Amino acid sequence: MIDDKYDIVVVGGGPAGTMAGAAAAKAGAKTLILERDAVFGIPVRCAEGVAVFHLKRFFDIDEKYVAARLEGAVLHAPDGSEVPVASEDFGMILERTLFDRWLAENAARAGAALLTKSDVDGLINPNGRVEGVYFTRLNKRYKVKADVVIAADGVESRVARWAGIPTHLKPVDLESTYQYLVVGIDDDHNNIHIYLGNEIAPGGYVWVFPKGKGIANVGIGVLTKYCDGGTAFRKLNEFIANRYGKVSIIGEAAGGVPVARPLKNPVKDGFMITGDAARHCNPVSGGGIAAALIGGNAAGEVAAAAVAKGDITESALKVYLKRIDKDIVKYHRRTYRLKEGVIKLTDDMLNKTAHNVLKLPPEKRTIVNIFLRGLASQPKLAVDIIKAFI
Amino acid sequence: MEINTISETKTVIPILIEPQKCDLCGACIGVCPPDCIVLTDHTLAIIGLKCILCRICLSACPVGALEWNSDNDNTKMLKSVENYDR
Repeated sequence: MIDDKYDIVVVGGGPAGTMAGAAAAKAGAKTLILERDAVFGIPVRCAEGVAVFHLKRFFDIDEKYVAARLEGAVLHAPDGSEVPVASEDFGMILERTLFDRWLAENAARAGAALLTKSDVDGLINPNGRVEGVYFTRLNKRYKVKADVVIAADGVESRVARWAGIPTHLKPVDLESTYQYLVVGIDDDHNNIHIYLGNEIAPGGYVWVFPKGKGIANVGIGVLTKYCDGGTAFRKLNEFIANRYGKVSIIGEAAGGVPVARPLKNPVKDGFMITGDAARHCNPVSGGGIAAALIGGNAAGEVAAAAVAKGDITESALKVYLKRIDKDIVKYHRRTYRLKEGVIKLTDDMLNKTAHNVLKLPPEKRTIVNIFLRGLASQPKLAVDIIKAFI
Repeated sequence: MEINTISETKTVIPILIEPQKCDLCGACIGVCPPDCIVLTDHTLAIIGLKCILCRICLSACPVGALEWNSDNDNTKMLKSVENYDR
């Protein structure tokens, strides 16, 4: 059942890993995807929001993994001002348990081999060159060789470190997050709601992502730099008590979200990194699904092409960086500058920004786009632009 | 769920993992500079010998499952890391 050698071994069965595995298998590579947990898609550590157009780049949307479709977003300033913004950056809330399982099915149909309960606990890397992985499944240890290993092992990203690529996040680059699945809230369920403020969520925000009428993912991200232990959990409980009072909680999860620049060099000989592990998360929103799909797909295709050509050197695999240059590297680097400004905003500045944006006609209220356009034309620190805005 | 601290190094560090609180989310691992936190299927552990006592993992933990145990506090070691880039 488990062979000694594969063309490509993918570590991690989230969206990045299964996309990479599907792309590699589709291109004809003998591919194995290793997932630590017992089922693809469980546990969910995600607010589950994604823009529809990102999914449509890769496949027709299957309604079975869509929890809710949205009209837009409402930003809530610390003083309670509400700013409705256009919907192009938002789109729908997924049912990640089903979405991830669907992606795993997709990889399997493309011809990839998949294994659950398979905990990768080491790399075969004599002389620093990655040549495969060790993993434990049901108390048995396996050694599997691979031409290319793709690390898609999420925020903790230990595989990359074993390969000698440092991925440690600074406290200013990790959001510490907690989320409840809440039933019994009577908020508007057609929009996502974002609550900003240094009291509410220092260096981050509280999100309410509706998954239907009366049910929503209510979560918080706080910047580790501004935290002591348990801040996310505490602040989320405060928010829910203040805003909703008594609610029913039918699920909860903790998590870490990288809000860093993408890794400068996510490849070396026979080795690639993708998804959260490569820090492919939007540094302002913390969204990572789109980048995982784009990056995972590119990594899988590039790896398969390299294997087919018989050249798996770092320079051959670097095509991957070109493939993700526009959508991830450049975009997230720009967004990172914006984040550097945003996390320094005082509540007063956030309120003023909200009031000013409210003066704009609704169709121009794409805050992120306004900021980004400013950054593109004037490559100064984002904070200057935001100040200019105020 | 079994969560423990690896004791093989015989290095006692002033950080405790509270198994009942830990969600195995990996946030602490993402920020650990010396890469001394280990997460397997049902276990989170700190390799004491590699720990530099920077406390970043404590801040990163969303639920506060990592706690500073002042009984084992070693202020001498702390001084050597207080200038650590954070």
